[in-house]
Amino acid sequence: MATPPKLPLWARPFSLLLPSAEKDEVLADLGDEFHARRGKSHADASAWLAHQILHSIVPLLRRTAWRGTTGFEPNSSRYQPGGPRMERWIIDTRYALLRLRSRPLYASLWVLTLALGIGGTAAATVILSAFLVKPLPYPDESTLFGFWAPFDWSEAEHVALRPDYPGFEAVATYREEPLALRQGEAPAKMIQGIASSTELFEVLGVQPARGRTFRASEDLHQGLPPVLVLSYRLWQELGGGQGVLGSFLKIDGESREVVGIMPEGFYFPEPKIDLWMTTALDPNNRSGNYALVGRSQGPLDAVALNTHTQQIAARLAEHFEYPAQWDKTKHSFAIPLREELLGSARGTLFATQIAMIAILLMAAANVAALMLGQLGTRAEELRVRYALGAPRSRLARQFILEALLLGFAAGTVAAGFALVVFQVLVSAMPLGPLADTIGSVSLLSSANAGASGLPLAIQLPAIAIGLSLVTSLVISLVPVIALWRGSAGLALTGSGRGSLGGRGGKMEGGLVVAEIAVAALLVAVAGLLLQSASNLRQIDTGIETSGVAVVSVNAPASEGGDRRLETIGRLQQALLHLPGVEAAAAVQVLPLSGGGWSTSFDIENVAGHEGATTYFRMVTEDYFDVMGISLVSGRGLLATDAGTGQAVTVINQALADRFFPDVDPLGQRISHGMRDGWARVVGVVENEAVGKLTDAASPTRYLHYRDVGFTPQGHSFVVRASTGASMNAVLPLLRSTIERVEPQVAVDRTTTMEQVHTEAMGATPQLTGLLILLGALALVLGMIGIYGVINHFVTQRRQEWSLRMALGLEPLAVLRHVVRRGAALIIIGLMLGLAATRMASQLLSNILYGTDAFDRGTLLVAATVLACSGLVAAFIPAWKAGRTDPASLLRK
Amino acid sequence: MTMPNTKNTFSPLGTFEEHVLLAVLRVEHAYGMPVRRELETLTERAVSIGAVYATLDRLEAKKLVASSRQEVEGRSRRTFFVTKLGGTALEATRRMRRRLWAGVQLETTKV
Repeated sequence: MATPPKLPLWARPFSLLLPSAEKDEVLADLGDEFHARRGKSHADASAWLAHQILHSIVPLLRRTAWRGTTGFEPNSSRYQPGGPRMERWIIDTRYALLRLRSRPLYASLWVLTLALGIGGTAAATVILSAFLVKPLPYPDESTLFGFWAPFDWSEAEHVALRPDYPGFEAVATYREEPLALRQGEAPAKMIQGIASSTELFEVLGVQPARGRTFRASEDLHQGLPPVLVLSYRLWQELGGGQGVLGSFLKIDGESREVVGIMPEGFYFPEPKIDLWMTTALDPNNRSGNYALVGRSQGPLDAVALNTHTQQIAARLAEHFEYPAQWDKTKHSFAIPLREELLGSARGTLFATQIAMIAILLMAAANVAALMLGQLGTRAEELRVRYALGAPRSRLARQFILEALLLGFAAGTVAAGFALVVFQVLVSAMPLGPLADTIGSVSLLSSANAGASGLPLAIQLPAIAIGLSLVTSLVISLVPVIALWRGSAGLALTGSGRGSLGGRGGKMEGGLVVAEIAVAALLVAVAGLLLQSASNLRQIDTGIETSGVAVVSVNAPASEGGDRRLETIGRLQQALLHLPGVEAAAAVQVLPLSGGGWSTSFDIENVAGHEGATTYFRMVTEDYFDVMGISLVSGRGLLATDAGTGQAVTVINQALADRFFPDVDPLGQRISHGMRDGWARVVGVVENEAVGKLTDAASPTRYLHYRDVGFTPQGHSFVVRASTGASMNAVLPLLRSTIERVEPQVAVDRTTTMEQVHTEAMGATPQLTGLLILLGALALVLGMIGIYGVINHFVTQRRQEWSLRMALGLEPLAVLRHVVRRGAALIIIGLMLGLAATRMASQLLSNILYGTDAFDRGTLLVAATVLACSGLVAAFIPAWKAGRTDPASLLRK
Repeated sequence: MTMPNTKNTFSPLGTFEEHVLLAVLRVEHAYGMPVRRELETLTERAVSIGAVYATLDRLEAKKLVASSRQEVEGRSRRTFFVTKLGGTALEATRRMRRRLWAGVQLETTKV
C-alpha cells in the first residue's frame, strides 16, 4: 500500500477534530484529492482544502460533543473502537456534573467560598486598572510631569524660569480658582476653575473641540481681562449651542469672553474642573499658590529627570534667595503626572488589592482543603477504579474538570458579588479627586472604570469568571498532587491512616496556618484603625457640632468690601428669621478646615514677641453661641462695638495661656492683625479646633467683621437649628434663602458641622470601614478553614477512636485532643500574623492617631477575637468526635 | 456500546440527510469522499467532508445507514450502506414530496 500524500503543514491540525478510528482514512482521502487538484493549480487546491477544513469545523465540533455525551460508536468501529479526541473529557465532564449534583452541600460551599474571594479581587482589580492603566486624557502621557512644591510656586518664579525649563519643551503654571458664575438674573453658582499661564494646553497637547485655547500673549500684561475655555460639561449646561463660543460669561461679577470648548472626557487636573482661564502673571509677585506641569523633550529616565530638575533648581537659585527653612532650590524633583494626580490614593489602591488577593488566597486554601477532604471520602471509590485499571491521569482529570465546573459557577456568583463590592469600595476607599473618573456613572456606561473602556457590567463578570477559572485550575492541582503522591496508597486495600483515606493532613494544616496569619493581620489592622478612629472621635473640638448647619458662600470679586459687609449682615438677618433656626453667624474660615489666616502678634508695651503669629478669625457677634464655644471670662463681641473707634477682640484660652501666663488678658491691647494699631481684649473663650482636628490648641484671636475694614469674598454661615428641626429641611432652605436674598452671591456648599467634623478625621473612618469588611471576610474564611481541616482530621480518625473508646478512652480526652490540634494551628497562625502586622506597622504609622502601630492592647483584643472564633470552629467537630458512639462505628 | 433511542415511526428526513442517503445508494463504494463528490456533482454546491461524516454518523445512530470496514483500493475504509429502515424512510420522503407537489403547476401559477 502506497503511503498517502501528506497534507500541507497548516492543514494538519484538522486531525484534532476527527475520531481516531477514521482519522487516517479521512486525512488520506483529503490528501489524495488535494494533490490531484494541485497538479492543475496550486492556488485552487489550497483554496479548496481551506474551504473543506473551514466548513467542516462546526459540524465536526458538534459531532464530537454529541458522540461524547451519547457515547455513540459506529458499527464499523466495533473491532477497533476510537472515539473523537475530546470524548473522554466530555464524558468526564458529564460524570463530574452528575457527582456534583449528588453533593449539593459540598458544591455550594465550594462555590460560595471561592466567590467571596474572587468577587473582592475582581472589584479591586477593576478599580486599580482604572487608576493605573486607563490612559489620562492627554497624548503621550509618559512625558508629562508634575513638579515639587505643588501649589507653592509664585508668578515671579514662573516668569523667571519660563524662557528655559531645562529638559522640558514647555511648562505651565496653574492654581485652583473657585468662581461664581451668574447667568442673567438666575442665582450665581459656584464652579471650580483653573487659572493658568498660557502654556497649559500646549503642555497637555490637547486641542479644543471648538474655538481655540490660550494665546502666548494673553498672560503677559497686567490688567488684560482673562479669556475662558469651558469644559464640555459646562458648555452643555449652558445650552451646548454655537452661540456660547465668543459670548461673555459673568464670572465673579465680571464679563469674560469664552474662546474655546474642550472635548468631552477631557479633564485637568481633576474631573470637577469646569473652566480654565488665563491669569496675568506679575514678574514681581513673589507670593502665590501655583503648581507646575511640564512636558519633557522626550522620555526621561529617573537620572535624566533628576538632572533636569536640579538644573531648574539651579536656575531658580540664580534669580531668587530663599530663607533656609523653606529653600525651594533644595529637594527638587518631578514625578509622572499620573502619580501626582493619584496622590495618596495610590497606596490605598495597592493595599486594598493586596488585601483582596490575600483573601482570595484564603478562599482558595479553604476550597483546596475541601477538595482534599473529598479525596479522603472518595478513597474507596478511587481505589476500586484504580484497581480496575483507571489511569491516575484519568482520575486527576476528573478532579480538574470538577474544579473548573465549580470555578465557572463561582465566577458567575462572584460577578454579582463583585458589582456590590465595587460600589462599596468606591465609596469606602479614599480615592482622592480622581474618584469621579470611575464609578459615578451607571454600570452600563463605558465612560467609567477600566482600562479597556468596556462597561463595568461586562468587565466585572469577565474578570470574575476568568480569574475564577484560573484559580480553580490551580486549586485542582492540590488534590491532583495529593493523588499522585498517594498513588501507592491507592493500591492498598486497607483504609488505615497510611493510605489515601488517611492522609496526614500536613498540607491542609499548612494552608490553615497561612489563613489564620492573614486573618490575624487584617483583623489586627482593622483593630488599630478602629482604635485610631475612636481616638479621633474623642478629641475635644471645643465645638457643639450637632445641630449646626453650614453654608459656604462666595461674594463676587467685583463688589467692594463695604458692599460685601452689608451683604453678610443682610444674609445673617434673613437666615435668622427662617423657621427652625435659633441663631446664625458668619465666619471667614470654618474651624476643622485645616488652617486659614495667621497674622503677626504683639502686645502693647510688651517686648519679646517679634515674629510671633496667631490664627486670625473674622466672625459676627453670635459665632460663639452658634458653635457652643463657652466664654471663660469677659464678654463676647457685639455688633455695637464697631464704630466706637476702638477695635475690640476676643482671644482663646490657648492665646491667653501662651502670651498672658501671669496677667489677666482682659483690657490688654494686642496688635490688630489686619492693619496697624491695637485691639482691646474684651473676652476669653474656650479653645476650638481652629486648624486640623489633630492640631494642639492654637492661639487664636477673633475680630468682628466690622472691626477689620476688609471683607474677603468667601465666608461660611453657621446656623444653629432649633431642637427637633431636621437638617434635611434646614439645608435647602438656607440655600434657597441666600439665592433669593442675594442672587449675586454664589452658594458653594451646604453641609452640617458634623459632616465637617467627619471630614476632618480624614481617611481613617473610611479606611476603618474597609478594613472591618476585609477583616470580617478573612475571619469567616479562617473559621471555615479551621472547621474544614479539623472536621477532616476527626473523620479520618473516627474509626480508631471508636475502637479506643470502646476500650475505655474517655470522650473528654478525644475532645481535648481535637481542640488541642485546632489550638496548635491557631497559635502558629496568630504568631505569624502578628509578626506580619509588626512589619506592616511602618506603613500604618502615618495614618494612625494616638495609637502605637504595635499597640499591645488592640493586638491582644484582635488575637483574642481570632483565637475564640477559631476555637469555636474547632470545637464543633471536636464535640462531634467526643460524642461518637463506639458501637455504631465498630458495626461498620 | 450505547445507542441513542431511535423511533420506529421516523420523522421526515432533513433535506441534507435525504441527499446523503441517496448519494450512498448511488455510489459504488460509499465512503466519505466519494459520497461528498457525488453530492457536489448532483447538487452543484460545495459540500464539506466534515458535514458528510457528521450526517452519516447521525443517520447511523438513527439506524438509517450502517457502516462496516471494507478494503477499497488497498485501504481500509468505513463504508456505508442504506438499511431497510433507511430505504423506507427515503420512500416515505419521496411520497411526501409527491403529495406536496401534486397539483402544483409552476408554469400557470403566479410565482
